[in-house]
Amino acid sequence: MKHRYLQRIGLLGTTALLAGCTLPKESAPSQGRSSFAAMQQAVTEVSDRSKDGLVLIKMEGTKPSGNSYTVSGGSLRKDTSLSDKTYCGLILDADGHILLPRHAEPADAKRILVWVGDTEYSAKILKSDERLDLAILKIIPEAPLTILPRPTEKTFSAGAWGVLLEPSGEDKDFEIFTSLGFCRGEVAGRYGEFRMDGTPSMAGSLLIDLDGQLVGILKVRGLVRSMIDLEEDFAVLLADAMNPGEDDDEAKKKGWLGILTQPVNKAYGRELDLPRSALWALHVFEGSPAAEAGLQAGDVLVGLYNKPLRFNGSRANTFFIQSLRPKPGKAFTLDVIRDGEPMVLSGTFAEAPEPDTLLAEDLGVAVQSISNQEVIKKNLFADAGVLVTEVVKGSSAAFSGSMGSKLLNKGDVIVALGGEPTPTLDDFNRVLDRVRQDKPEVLLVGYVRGRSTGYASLNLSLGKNGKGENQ
Amino acid sequence: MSKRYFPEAGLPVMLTALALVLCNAGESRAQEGTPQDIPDAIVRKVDPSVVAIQHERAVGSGFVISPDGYILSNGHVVRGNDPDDPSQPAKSIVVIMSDERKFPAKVVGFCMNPDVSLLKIEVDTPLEPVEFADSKQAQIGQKCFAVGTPQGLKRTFTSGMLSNVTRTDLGTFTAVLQTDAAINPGNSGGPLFDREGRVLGINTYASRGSNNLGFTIPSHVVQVLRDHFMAYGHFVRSDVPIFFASEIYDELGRALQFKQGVLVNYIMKGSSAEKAGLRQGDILVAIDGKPVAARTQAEMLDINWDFTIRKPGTSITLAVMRGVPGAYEEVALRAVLEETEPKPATRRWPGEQKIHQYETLGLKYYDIVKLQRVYLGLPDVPGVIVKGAGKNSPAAKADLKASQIITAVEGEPVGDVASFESALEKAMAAHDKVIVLDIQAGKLRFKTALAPFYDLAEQKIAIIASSPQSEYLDLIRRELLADGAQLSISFLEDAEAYTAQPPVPMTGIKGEDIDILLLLDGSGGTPIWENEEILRIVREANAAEKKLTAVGSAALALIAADEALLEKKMTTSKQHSGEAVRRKARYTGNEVEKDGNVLTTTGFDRDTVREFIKQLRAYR
Repeated sequence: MKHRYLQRIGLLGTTALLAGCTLPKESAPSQGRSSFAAMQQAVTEVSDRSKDGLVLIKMEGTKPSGNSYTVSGGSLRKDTSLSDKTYCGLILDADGHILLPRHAEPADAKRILVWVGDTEYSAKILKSDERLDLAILKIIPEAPLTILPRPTEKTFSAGAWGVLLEPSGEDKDFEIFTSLGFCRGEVAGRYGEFRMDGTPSMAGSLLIDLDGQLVGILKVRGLVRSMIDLEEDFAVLLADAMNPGEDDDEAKKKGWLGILTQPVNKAYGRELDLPRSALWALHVFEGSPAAEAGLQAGDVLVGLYNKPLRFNGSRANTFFIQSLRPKPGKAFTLDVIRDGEPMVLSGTFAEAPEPDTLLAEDLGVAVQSISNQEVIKKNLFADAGVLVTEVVKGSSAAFSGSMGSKLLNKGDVIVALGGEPTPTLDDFNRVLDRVRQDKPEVLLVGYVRGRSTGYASLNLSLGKNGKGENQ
Repeated sequence: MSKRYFPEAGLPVMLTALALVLCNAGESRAQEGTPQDIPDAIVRKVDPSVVAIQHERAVGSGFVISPDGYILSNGHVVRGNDPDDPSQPAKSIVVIMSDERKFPAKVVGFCMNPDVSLLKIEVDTPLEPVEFADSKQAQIGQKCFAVGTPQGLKRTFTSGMLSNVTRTDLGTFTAVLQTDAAINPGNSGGPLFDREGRVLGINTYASRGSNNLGFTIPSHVVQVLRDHFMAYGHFVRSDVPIFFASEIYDELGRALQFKQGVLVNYIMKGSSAEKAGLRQGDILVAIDGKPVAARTQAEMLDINWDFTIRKPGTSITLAVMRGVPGAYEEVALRAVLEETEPKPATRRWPGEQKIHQYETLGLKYYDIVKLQRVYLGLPDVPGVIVKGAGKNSPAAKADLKASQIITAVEGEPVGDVASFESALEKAMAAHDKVIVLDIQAGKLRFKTALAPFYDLAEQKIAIIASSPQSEYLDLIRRELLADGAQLSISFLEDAEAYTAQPPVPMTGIKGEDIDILLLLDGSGGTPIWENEEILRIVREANAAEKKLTAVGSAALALIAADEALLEKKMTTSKQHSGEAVRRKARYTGNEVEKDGNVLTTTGFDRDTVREFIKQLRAYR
């Protein structure tokens, strides 16, 4: 009997306790209001803390991009008017280095102005990266600048809320505009992007998470570039910008690895137990850094710089190319699988070979020397000769007796002029010089077109350019 | 007639009007031969020779060339639409005479370039044939008129003049005539007459690439094709040693210091030119002792034509100038003409090559011909060329793309379509999850894997055909294999002749053990619906509620076997529809008919059978 009472009391007690726990302290709507108020407060705090970390950039007098048209006087005209472009910039350090969220050349704009708060500065472009689509500007600040904290690991993801800050100009009293954005998800890639709802439209607008960390910068409305993915590369860009000692020409020299790659087919990769992200080395160019490192056609690439490749299909190829960032002298390591055996190959990038070119005005063709690269990439069937890269309109090479087809085409390989073989660009030049001296009326050109061969006879009295050389 | 319209002065007015009309008529007869009119008498004379041609997919025109019923038209008017076999004409062609008599027609031969076809109808009374003009004598500015049956109108006469007699830039095999007489889609295949009513050529309205063009194939070309079709059933082209030769235009003649002849630009490996000993750079000056020279593209096409139409096997002598400009020596060579390989498709026309496909895999492919290697810049590796991969198909997922060469299947080299299919089918019969393929793309090589879906993997399909020659047996077998079906094949007769897989004797088949029964007819021999074994199997299968499918007349076996099946809607070939009706079947006449577990098809053409296979697949 006692047990039963105790049991009942125990049961009642437990029930009361549970009820006490689950019954809301307040009613649901007011709970909602206080959650909302807390959110508002968080947003206000974050934007207050962060608003000094961004600047307004105005590029004055920028040329329009190649493909914009305007309607004027009832007809479509190519847009040639200059305009001003505004961006949100990020303060990178106290010295006045500012991140411009677009690739820009100094010639692109007449003047670049930067407002830190309501103080106006003139800025210049230190360095720009076309691939990253970012540039570093420099101002000489009068007062110390605020730098926003950036996360070291990825914390922002689908479902998270973030604050988007957009600067405004004089007409709006330099206020910072705030939006609350919601992350719908991430678009995978070497440089990930967040799909956001509720974003402003100014490129470069900052995305700050509710802890006050800078998470991304706006690419276009709705799409934010992930800061973590950009971090490594723009640190290099910034370092380059701050080392003015580097020769411009040196900097422009492109490095190369010297291979052609193609993603390994998914089903085939599974069959061979390859990692999900794998690339065929389709071809290794003779004498290239890859060849020196021992890479062979048929090898499967699975890692670069000691990190595994990411993504599948053509994205794996893009990831590889974007991660490579070859510079002459820079070291690389490749993780490779050959006949089922893993290997690590290493080497250094070399300067990318550039073909020699020549414009033969009298014939009306631009040609370049042929290397293994052209033979493979353009599927040539001649490894000696010069490759026609352009046929000048109205020239003797462009002229044709039968309708519609020129005597010489882009992609032809010229192997002989006037009966003399021209295996190299030097030979071609030498024979051309003789031709210019002899001044024949017609010139026989021997060429290889695809797999077939052919002859064309150019009438050299036609198509002289109006440069006063046709005496 | 109301008095209002014919006032008192009416009669004199009428008479005057009549007089005027008669005078005009007389005047126009006097004007016969002036640019404005084609003589009425000529128009009336040629009219009965022009016919309309119709088949299941197109309409066009044609004209009678013999009293016993040979008719000429364009090739594209009669071609079938089977990409698998471009040499097949359309199935049911009807010729409609000017007096509206209709005749079924048979295609004696057709070609797409030159775009000519020859048909034959059986007539009781002799027809009015046309006369041919000598198109080699055609003159620019000459008056001409086109007759045709465009777009459902009875017939039209349009007139104009010859604007050009040597158009060579339209991708046609020979130079063609150009006229400003209106040529529209239905005129295709109709004649272009000169002022005397003789045929200058066949009018061709073509949509080539993005152009709509009208041109006329000269009658001298047409007549050669007629002769070829009658003798061989198709256009037999000789591989001409001068295929890659070009005309010597003015500047070229000056640079070569030699103005006569044609210049040999390129010698294709394995060609008759190579075998004859011709070399790149040779100038061909005489063939069989007769001088040969071309200064224009039109002249070049003429020379090319003269040799293409000669009989393969003919031996010809060539005289070439060999050396360097200013120092040539004459060399004598001998060449033997060979028949060319089927011509590959170009931008402008579909070509003559057979395209093979596994629709289930989404893969289209074909054999490589020498010319194709030159056109596509392919290296000399043996294999089959991928024509294309269907969207989202196993072939697309294997990253297969047009112009790639498949050189090996599961490590076994494949040199042609036959060995490729054999290797592929071996893997598919074993239900290999992936089939590794070696690919050559340009100069690059890699491997990929084809992963078929095997949608019919659970299905045991028993195919029973009259004989190994049954028309669609090969097509059906290959597609079902690609789908992973477990196939057994049996024949009424001639089983020993079948080599693709070991046939199974019908006596061993129990209707309840299979999932799908597929009956195929064939020509000749015992009709499939009178064979007791087959009827037994049908009955057993139906009792076990299995799927019963049949192509063409084989559908009759279903209704003959079991009265219960008479309730099901079915279809069969047109010739046997009468028999189906007589047996009181629910014959619908649709190309493919599905009713519960019964699936039948007329088997009209390959497209119909492919549709049948698609519906059969839904049984999985």
